[in-house]
Amino acid sequence: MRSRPQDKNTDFKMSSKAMARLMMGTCVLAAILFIFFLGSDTPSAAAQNQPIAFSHRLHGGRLKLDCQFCHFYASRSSSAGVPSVRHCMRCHDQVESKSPEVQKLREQWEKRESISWTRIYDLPDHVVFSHQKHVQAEVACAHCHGKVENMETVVRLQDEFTMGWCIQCHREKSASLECLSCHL
Amino acid sequence: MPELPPLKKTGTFNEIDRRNFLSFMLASGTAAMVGCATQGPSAVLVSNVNPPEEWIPGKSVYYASVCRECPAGCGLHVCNRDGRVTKVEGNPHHPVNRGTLCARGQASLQGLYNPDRLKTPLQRSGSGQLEPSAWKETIDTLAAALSELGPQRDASSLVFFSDILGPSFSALVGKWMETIGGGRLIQHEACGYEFLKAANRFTFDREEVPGFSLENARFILSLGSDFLETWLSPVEFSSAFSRFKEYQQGRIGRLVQIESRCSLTGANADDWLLIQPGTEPILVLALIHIILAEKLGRVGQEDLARIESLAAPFNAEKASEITGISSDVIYDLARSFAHERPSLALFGGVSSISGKATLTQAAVNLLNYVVGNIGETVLYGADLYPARLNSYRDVLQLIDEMNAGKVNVLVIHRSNPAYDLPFTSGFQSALEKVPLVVVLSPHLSETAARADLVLPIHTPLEAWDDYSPREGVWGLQQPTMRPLLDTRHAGDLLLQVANQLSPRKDDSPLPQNYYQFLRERWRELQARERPDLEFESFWNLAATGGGVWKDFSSQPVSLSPSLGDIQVRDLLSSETVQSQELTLIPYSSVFNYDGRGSNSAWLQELPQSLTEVVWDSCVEIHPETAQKLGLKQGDVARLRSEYGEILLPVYVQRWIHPDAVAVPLGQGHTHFGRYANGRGANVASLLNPAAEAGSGGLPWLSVNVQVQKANARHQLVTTRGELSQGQRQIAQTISLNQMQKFFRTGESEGSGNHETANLYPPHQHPAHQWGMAIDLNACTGCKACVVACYAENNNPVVGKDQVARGREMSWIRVESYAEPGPLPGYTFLPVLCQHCHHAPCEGVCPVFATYHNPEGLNAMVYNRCVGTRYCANNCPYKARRFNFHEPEFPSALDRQLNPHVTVRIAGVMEKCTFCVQRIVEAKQQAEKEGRNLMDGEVMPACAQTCPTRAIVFGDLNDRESLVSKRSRDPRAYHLLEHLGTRPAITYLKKIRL
Repeated sequence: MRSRPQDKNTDFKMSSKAMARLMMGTCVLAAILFIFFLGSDTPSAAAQNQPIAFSHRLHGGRLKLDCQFCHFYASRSSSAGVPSVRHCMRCHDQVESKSPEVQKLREQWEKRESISWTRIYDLPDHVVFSHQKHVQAEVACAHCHGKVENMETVVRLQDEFTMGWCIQCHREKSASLECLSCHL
Repeated sequence: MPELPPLKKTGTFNEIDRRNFLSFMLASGTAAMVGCATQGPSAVLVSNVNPPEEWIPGKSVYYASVCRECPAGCGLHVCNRDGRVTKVEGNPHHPVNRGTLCARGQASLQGLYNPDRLKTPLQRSGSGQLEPSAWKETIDTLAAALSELGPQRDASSLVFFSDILGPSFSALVGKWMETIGGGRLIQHEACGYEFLKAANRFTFDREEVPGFSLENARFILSLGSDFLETWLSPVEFSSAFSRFKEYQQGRIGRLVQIESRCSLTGANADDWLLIQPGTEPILVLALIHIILAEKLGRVGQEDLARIESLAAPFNAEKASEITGISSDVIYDLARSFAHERPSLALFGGVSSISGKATLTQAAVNLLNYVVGNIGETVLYGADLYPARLNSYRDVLQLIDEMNAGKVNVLVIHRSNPAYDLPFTSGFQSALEKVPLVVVLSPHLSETAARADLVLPIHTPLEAWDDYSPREGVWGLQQPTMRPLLDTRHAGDLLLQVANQLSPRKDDSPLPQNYYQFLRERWRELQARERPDLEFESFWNLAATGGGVWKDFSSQPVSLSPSLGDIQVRDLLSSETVQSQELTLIPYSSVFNYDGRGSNSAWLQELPQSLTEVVWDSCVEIHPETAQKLGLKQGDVARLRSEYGEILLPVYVQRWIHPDAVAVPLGQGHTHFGRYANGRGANVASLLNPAAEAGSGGLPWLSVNVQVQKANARHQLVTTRGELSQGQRQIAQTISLNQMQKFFRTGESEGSGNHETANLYPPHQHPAHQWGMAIDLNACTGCKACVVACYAENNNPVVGKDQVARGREMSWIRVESYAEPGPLPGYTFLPVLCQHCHHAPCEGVCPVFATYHNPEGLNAMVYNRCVGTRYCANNCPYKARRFNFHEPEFPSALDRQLNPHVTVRIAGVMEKCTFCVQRIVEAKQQAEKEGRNLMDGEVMPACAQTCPTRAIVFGDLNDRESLVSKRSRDPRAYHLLEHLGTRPAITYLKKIRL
């Protein structure tokens, strides 16, 4: 059997001096990045630009609604889906109907117009990801999306969903490492 | 015949859901998967407002509908993904096409997403230009013109000219004209069948077009009938033809094609005979003569006597002299036709409709009658669609009326008469005499360019309608997505205009909208056909199933008393052409048909059957004739008839009558769109405008042309390689005798076991081993698979220049091989990635972008590919394609892209994946339902659409799967087997008589 790139163990040898220099460099870089991210308490600027100030902390955290109460396509399709305006209105027709943010929602509903949410998560176009498959395999939503119930507005857990990050989990869980599982 | 796939989920598209459809045009989460690689990530997630129940983001919903690319009326299952239609497939339950579709049907998507569709109505301004206008304005103009007609008017003052309509729409037009004060409906198709209707009236007193049962025949004698391409119902006939050619009980059916230019049907024939153009009736009468003389007839004495009196003057020798077919062959044909029953004689097709077409068809009817084929292979009572069409003569009459100033308003619906009709019929100039010409069309056309008003209407994939291709079949055409542009339903437009003329009252015979009208019509149908059902359940049944149908009962016929009136005597005295002129054979091909789909980039890039020319048109000339005229391939020739002239590049081919030249229909557009304009020439400018006396049809084959060399060369791009395969054994055949011997003794001739030693260990395929079997005996070279692959896999088109450099991107191609000789006897060989067990491409990839996967697929990982092209260089099947350029999908063609397949970028290699996205989807579904995959559940796009079911796909690990069985067939072999690549594709040899 020919080895595939992900199976390869690359022998990586380096002198101890070079190693020390590299480690030093890495530490400095890490420190700079740490300070940079500490300084900005909202990592994703986009997060603030949602058309309606929907709180995941309130819905998922305080009210303890299950993720799939709203993202109910996750177990049925590759896409988890954003809830439809109708779905929001099922509760908010009565609940908190006076709140200015809910008023915005009602306005959309009455105009029969959709809401354009700012996208937080995206994958490159050459990747196919199935929520259904991962829900079936009982991977917790938080595994990729973080503790959304603690976030007022959703921020990305991962800066990028890199392939290495996916593969790591696939290895741990003995999931498929076949290229065609994700690249079609 | 493989098992048909299980019915996919089909939904209804009710009124409320349609309104909400806009909201999920761009819907939500799956945008992450939308494969628009060239456009970067979308920044927004658009929520739905009020989604329909059946809708799940990222999942396909299939809507049943009807294909309207030609009048055959195949059933469709149209795949809608997140509000966009991305694929059309045949409806497996539809009696016409049984799940399959032709190339044009597959390309109907590009009609919907045609980048040149009209976005607004157009109105002719004071300066004489067509200019964009508002809907209200244009409708007001139309209503005003109609109200000016006044109540006391001639029926000709308003004419509604259309292509063939479904029963409900034609009823609506009738009612509409009645309400607004009268008018006339003309339904016209460029490829008409007037001769069939007229001949049936002459011979059997029935003005109908019967059904033909090819699969029940043992012997088919076809006189130029291109039933595998465009004739009547090509998908249905292709499927029947594959059953006709199937090896059963030691025999296969035999097709003899007699024509003046080899058509695709001729290329598939067992015997092909060249006939002097237009002499078919003499041959047929001679056949009847021999059958009667040898007492092989199977009808009553009285009938025999009457037929005999007609056929008496036509002996084989005389016929041989005129037709150019040897008398021995004529005797053999007559005897075979009478003995190998049930047999079937067919006639027709643009290339053979001469001034004697009605007479020929009448003779063919009698030929079928004398040997007793009526009721067995010719089924009266089917009443095929041409019965509803007006004749070409009616159109000529309309032109006269237009010229006389009798027509005040001419509404032209979907039809393109300024392009189709012979130019000298004067239609184009007559248009100028009509005060108001209104064209209802989704896109600009040669007719629309001459109109005063152009109203953009929905394409059939966006509109409600119904269609009935034959007795007992009512297809319900439902919209499969929300209209792409600000277009209207033609029916709604008519109703709106009528409303404006006289505001609607409650007792008005016209409903509010066409949808309502359609439902009322179907309520009547339900009362008639299914009184046991509630209307709503009937309607849902029809909408989810694609319509309702029942078998028709075949009816006996008897000879008409007026049979003696048929004038056959003067056939023999007709002058023989002794001039320097050549007979012009116009022909309609499976891809271009009458030119209505020419603005499809897929169809343009598809190599034309037999010539394999792309993005072009050409005139076919026999090598001897070409030599005489000093013409070489690629020279531009000037074709001049009495009626006009055109310039076309020459294509030299040997299977055409030396006294004839052939030109395809469908190219030479001037106002049709970016892909169609300025390619080739329109044959209509050469045609004789006089109608055939007997039937009133257009005799296509009635013009002689002078062919001269024009001082120019033209680059004809063809994908054809060497026509002859020499000793290379690429597309293999087996004789019927060898087949019989195998089944008698169990010995096959042995394709030679090429099992070679290998240094690599064998691959393991623990779960599945995907494989394919392609039956060359069934493949007719129709290339529906090629277009289906483009649609499914987001293959880009690259244009003529790039194809000339060998850079076409089709993942599957259909090679054709024929050996020099009098008989073309083509063998068609679909070639795609062979998914080799020992793939030569894999070892040479420096970045492991291609490898053998555990399910036997030769996987291609685009994001790993760095574009060395070593793999393509090392592939012996030339199955790999390289993206030399960034693919282009001009809007709205980008909406058609399949979100489950990556759109590749420049610098990346690609090739057939066995539609791995379908495998993944089916496996997920099976896993979810906790069961194993069933055989036939995964169908790549090529196998799904194949009209003859030549392509079978499945799991080779399952010994009982159809593909496993076929790969053990005595006819099985592999392509270039001696190379030791061990392909996953098995070919089954073509059986030769």
